[in-house]
Amino acid sequence: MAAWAAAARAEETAAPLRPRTRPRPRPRVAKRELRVTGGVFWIGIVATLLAGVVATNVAVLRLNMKLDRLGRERTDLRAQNAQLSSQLSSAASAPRIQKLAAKQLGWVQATSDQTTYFTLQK
Amino acid sequence: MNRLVNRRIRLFLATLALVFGGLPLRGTWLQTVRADSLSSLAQIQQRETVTIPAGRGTLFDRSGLELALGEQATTVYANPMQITNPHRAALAVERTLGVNADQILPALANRTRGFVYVARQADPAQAAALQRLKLPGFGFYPEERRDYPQRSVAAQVLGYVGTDGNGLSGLELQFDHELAGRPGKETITKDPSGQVIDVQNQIPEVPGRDVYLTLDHTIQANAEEVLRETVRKWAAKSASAIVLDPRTGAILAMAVQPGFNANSFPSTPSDLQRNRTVTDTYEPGSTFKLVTVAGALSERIVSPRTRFRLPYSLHVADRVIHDAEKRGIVNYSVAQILAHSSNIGAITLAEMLGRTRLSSWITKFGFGRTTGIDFPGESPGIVLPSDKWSGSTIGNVPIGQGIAVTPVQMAAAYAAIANRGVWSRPHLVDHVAGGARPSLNHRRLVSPKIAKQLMTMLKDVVAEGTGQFAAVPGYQVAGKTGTAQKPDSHGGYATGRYVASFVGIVPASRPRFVILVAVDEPRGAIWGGTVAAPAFQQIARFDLQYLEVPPDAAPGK
Repeated sequence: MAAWAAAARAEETAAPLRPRTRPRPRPRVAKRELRVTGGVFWIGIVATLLAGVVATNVAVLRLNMKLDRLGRERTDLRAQNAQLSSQLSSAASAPRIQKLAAKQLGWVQATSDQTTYFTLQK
Repeated sequence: MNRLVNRRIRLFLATLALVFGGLPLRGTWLQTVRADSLSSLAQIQQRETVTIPAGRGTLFDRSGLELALGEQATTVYANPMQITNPHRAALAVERTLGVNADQILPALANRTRGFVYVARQADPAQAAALQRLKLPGFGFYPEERRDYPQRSVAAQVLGYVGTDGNGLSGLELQFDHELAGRPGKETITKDPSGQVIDVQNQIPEVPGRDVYLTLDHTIQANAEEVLRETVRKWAAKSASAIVLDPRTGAILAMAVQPGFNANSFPSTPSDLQRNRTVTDTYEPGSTFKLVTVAGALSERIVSPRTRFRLPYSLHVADRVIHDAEKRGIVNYSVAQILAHSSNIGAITLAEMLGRTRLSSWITKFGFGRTTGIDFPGESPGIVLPSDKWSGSTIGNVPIGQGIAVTPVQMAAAYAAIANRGVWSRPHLVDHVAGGARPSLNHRRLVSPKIAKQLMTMLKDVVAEGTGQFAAVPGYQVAGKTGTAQKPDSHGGYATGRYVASFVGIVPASRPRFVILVAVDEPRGAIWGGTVAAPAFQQIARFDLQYLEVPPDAAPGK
């Protein structure tokens, strides 16, 4: 027992104290850098995706507003078209033209005995 | 001192803890318990389901001219509960829409109501001017307004459309299903300023189909003009005319006077709105003798040359019937009976034919039942079945008394004779856009030989009989006059009230038109040959010229 203790004491005095071995600092720093870089990358990706979603929504919104404006424009154009058709129909009415012609130009309807028909040779 | 400060800090912290502890609780409450009701409230505020009106189809005449078409209009409504200043609002309405402010003010100031119409189907530009004022409580939505650009032309035939866009009479009613289309719907989401930011669940509108008529607006307008002049000249109650193509049964004109502007139908008396040529009946008088003669010829009882010794008057049961003009005994052929419109001659033929056969010929010619014309409210007329005839019926039905027909039935009967004995269903619609042409529905009434014989006799009526005022220079005209006393409400006949009519076929050699003119209660003259035949002549002369129908023989040749 004493031998054991002596041996231990001798050993203690003989060997100088050495610091404990730790994991190398260098590989730990590289791993952290990689993690940070990866995080930034994903943040970028997510930000881009979010920006895309927002941009798409804005585009859809704009298109909807444009669609609504075009719809109104179409309705207005249809209204104008119908109004013009009505005016054209009134103006192109043969009885109206005949009345105007009779009143302003003295037009007289030809009678059947004033009209000559020709039979064309084939 | 320190203690006091510490207490205050603790109190502040406790308050903060309470506030921040309450917020999640409130959030949870709103997100769970109140979620549904708040969500639906938000939807009501932001979302709106809008009806997209389907454009009503257009009615075209045979030349492609619009007779009725839809115009965009804006209906203006208001919620009086939201109107802050009714006086200002009423003045703005008067200034922009032209609605009397005094009239609209009570409605706008009535805060018990949540909805009032300010103007139905207003002019879109005027409505837009009101909308620009951004008055609180006013709303706008698009609607279609029916417009009749030819105004009074064919007004009774076209009918009209109600403010809700449904056909209420005439062709607008008959073809409402085709013309109406199907409205669309869309759900929109709006931002707080009312700007549409999203469109969901869009059901597109299906526009109505166009309807192409057989009417010709020029022939129609001319017929109306001639009738207007006839009514004025004879101080008549009304007049009707039909211009029909006997080859197909297509109606080129269907005129009734007095008329009205189709754009102002609500203010027009309903009496004027009726298309009397289809819905009203009259006792045809002598124009009906065609049926009696056609029956007698077809049954081979007589030929056109068979002669009869005819007295001036005749006893039939308890009645004494006489011819229109006083005369002695005459010896008339069947052709002359028609040419001189002899009542005694027609009754003699009817007695030879017998009540059963005469009745069957009346039915065969289409009297007593509708023609099937594509127009609503057609009257079948009034025809007594032969088993209900009294002893004197054989004395009045063969001469067109005691029977009621519609002008369109009579025109169709003459058209059958003009069409070599084949009857065609009279029709107003040529086709509906995207649809097939309707079947013409022909049926033979008399043989071509009998039709030819009848045409010759009808030509004599115009050449030397009662219808000489119907003659058109250069063309052969066949036709028959009619003068019928109007029945009164007591079962007898009214004194001095007559219907003067003429039905003619022109050119008789190659018939293109059957024209019927009936004048109700003319004054000064009552005879069909005097009152209606000249109107026929004017209509025929115009139509022949307009459709470039060559004359039968060149003048002087």
